[in-house]
Amino acid sequence: MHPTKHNRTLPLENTEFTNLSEALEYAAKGDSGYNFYDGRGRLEFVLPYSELLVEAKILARKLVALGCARGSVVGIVAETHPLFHRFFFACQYAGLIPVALPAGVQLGAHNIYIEQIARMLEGCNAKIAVAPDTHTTFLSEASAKLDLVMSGSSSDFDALPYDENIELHPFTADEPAYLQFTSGSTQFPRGVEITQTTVMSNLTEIAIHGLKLGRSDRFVSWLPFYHDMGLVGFVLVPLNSQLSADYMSPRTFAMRPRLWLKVISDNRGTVSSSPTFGYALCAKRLRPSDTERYDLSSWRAACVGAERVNHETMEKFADALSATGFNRNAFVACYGMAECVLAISFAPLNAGLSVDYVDKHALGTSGKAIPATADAAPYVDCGSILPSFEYAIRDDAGNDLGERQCGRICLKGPSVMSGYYQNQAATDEVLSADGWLDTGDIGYLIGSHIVITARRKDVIIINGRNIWPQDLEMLAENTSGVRLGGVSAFGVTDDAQLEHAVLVVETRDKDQASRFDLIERLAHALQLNFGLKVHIELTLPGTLRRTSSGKLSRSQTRDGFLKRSSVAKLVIQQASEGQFAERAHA
Amino acid sequence: MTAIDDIACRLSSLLVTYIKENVADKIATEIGPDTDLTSDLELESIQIMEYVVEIEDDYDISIDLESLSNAKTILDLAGIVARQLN
Repeated sequence: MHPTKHNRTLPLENTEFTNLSEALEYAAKGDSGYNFYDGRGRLEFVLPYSELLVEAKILARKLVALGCARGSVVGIVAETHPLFHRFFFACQYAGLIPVALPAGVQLGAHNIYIEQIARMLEGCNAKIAVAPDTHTTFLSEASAKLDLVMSGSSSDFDALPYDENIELHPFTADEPAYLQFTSGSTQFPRGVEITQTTVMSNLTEIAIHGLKLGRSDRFVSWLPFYHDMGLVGFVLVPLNSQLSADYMSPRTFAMRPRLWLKVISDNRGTVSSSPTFGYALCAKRLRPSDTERYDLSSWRAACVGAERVNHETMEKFADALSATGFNRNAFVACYGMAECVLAISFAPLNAGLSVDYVDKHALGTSGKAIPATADAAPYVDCGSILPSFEYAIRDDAGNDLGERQCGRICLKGPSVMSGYYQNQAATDEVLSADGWLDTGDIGYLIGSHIVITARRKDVIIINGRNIWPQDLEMLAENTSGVRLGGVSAFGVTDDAQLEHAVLVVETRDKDQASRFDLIERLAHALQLNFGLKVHIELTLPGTLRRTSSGKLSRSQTRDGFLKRSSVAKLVIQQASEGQFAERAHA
Repeated sequence: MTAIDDIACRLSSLLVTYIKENVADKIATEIGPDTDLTSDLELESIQIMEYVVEIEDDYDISIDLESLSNAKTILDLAGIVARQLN
C-alpha cells in the first residue's frame, strides 16, 4: 500500500466552489487524498478523493432511503478512520447535517463516555448515528434510550438496500454544511451551525491569505476530527485545495508522539498544526537518535493555536529538532474558533513567532499593553486578521477601544456562524442582530495584528482542550458533601504560562479526615470524567464571590483565591506535582 | 501464582519505573494489583496513556479502547493483557 501522492496533475483551484460537494467533485479528478496511519505508524487506509466521491454517493443514497427529513442530523463518532470522511461527505449529498462526536475515552470511564455521547445526540436531535467498530458497543449503549431512525456500525449501513435511481440533491450555498460542538461543555453542548457559504469563505481565506497553499503542499495531522482545527484545518482545507493529508489518531500521538515527526519526514509534509502542548509532549519524548532519522526541512507551516501560545516551549521544540532541518521560522501563530469556522488570524509565514513584551502591571490594572523590558509579560502576536473580517476591540459597554488597549474581540463577516443550532438564547448572547460576534476572548491590536491575552471568558484551556467551568462545578455539586451553588471553578496560569484548573468548594466540615475524604472523592470524580488533575481548595461558606445579581462570579473568586494563596506560584506548583495544599499540611 | 498475578506483578513494577522516570522520584502510595490508576496516583490521562504504551511495548500487544474504558486497577489491566496473550 502507498499513500496518495502530492497533487501533480490537477490545476490548483480553491476559490470557485460554492459548496463542499463541488469541492469534492473537483478534487476527485486528481490523485490526491487522505491517508490513515495506525498506532505503530503503519499505513492502514488510503482514501483518494476519487474513491471518496464514489463511496459518499453510494452511502448518500442509502441514507436518503432511510426517509429522514432534509436537514436531519447525523452523529458520527469521529475516530481517525475513513468512516468519518465517508459519512461526512455522504451527508453533503444526502442533504443531512453531519456532526462529529468525541471518540476519546478515558481509562475506566465507560459509562461517562456513553452519557456524553447520548447527551450530544439528544442535544442536536440526531436521527442517525454511526461509529467505527472500535466504538460500536459504546454507541449502541448510548443510543438505546434515544429515538433514532438508525444507529450502527459502518457495515450495518453498508448492508442497507441500494437504489441507484435515487436522485441526490447536495446541500447548496445557503444550506447547512455541518454542526460543530464547541469543543466544550458536556452538560450544555452547543452546536455551532455552519452553512456552505460560511465554510467555503473561511477555507478560501485560509488557502489564499493564511497558508498561501500551492500544489506541493501536504498536510499531516493527529488532531481529532471533533475539534475545529482537525475537521476544518485537516479534512476540509486540503480537500478544498486538492492536497493530500496524512493522519494518525490523537491516541497514537499521545502514546507515540514521535510518529508525528516520522510521517512528516517520510511524506515530506509541509503543513501541520498543534496546540502548544503537542509540541511540548513531542520534544519531551524525543530521543537524541531520533533527530538523525528525521528530515523535517519540508515542514514550512508549523501552526500553533487553540490555547495561549507559549513561545519558550516552542523555541525548545525547535532547539530539540535543529538537527532535522526544522526551521523555527516555520512556526505560525494562529487565532480562531469554531464560531468562525476555524481561522480568524494568521501570523506572517516564514517569520517565526513574534513576541510582544508588555508591562505586566499596566496590563493588569488598566488593560493597556505598554511595551516594556523589565517585569514584562510575553504575548505572542497572532498576526493579521483575515481580510474578510470586520473587527473591533470593545470594552464591556460596547465602546470601540484603540490600539494596545485590551478588550473583547468582536468580529463580523462571511466566516461567522449563523448561530448555535436550535438555541436562540445562546445565539443571542454572542451574536448581535447586525451580525457582530462577541468572541468573549480578550486581546489587543498592534496595527492590524491581534494579540490574545485571555481566551473565552471563564473557559479553562488545558492541553488545548476547552474545559467549561460549569461542567466541573456540576460534577462537584453532585458529590455528596458539596452544596448546590457552593462551588466555583476557574483556571489560573502559572509562570510557565501553563493553565491549571482550580475548584473552590465551600464546606462547614471541620473534621480533617472527612475533609480529606471529600477532596479524594472530588479529585477522583474529576480525574475520571475529565482526565484532569484539579487543585481543590475547601473554604468556609461565604468565601465565593457573587455579582450584584447574586450570580457566582468566577473571576472574583479567582482573584480571591490568588490573594489567599499569597504565593500563588507555590500553590500551583503543588497542584501540578499532585500534592494538594491541604494534604501537604497534614 | 496464577498467570494474572504474574502479569499484575510485572505491571506494578513497570508502573513504579514509569512514575520514577516521568512523574516523581518518590511514590506516595504503595503500588500493587489493587492500585486504582484513575484515583490513587493522581496521574493525568496522558500519563496513563504513556503507561499503557509501556505495557503494549513490553508485551508486544495492542489494547483496545473498549477494554481500557472498563479498567481501573492494575489487576484489571493484567486481565486484559492475559486475554491478549492467550
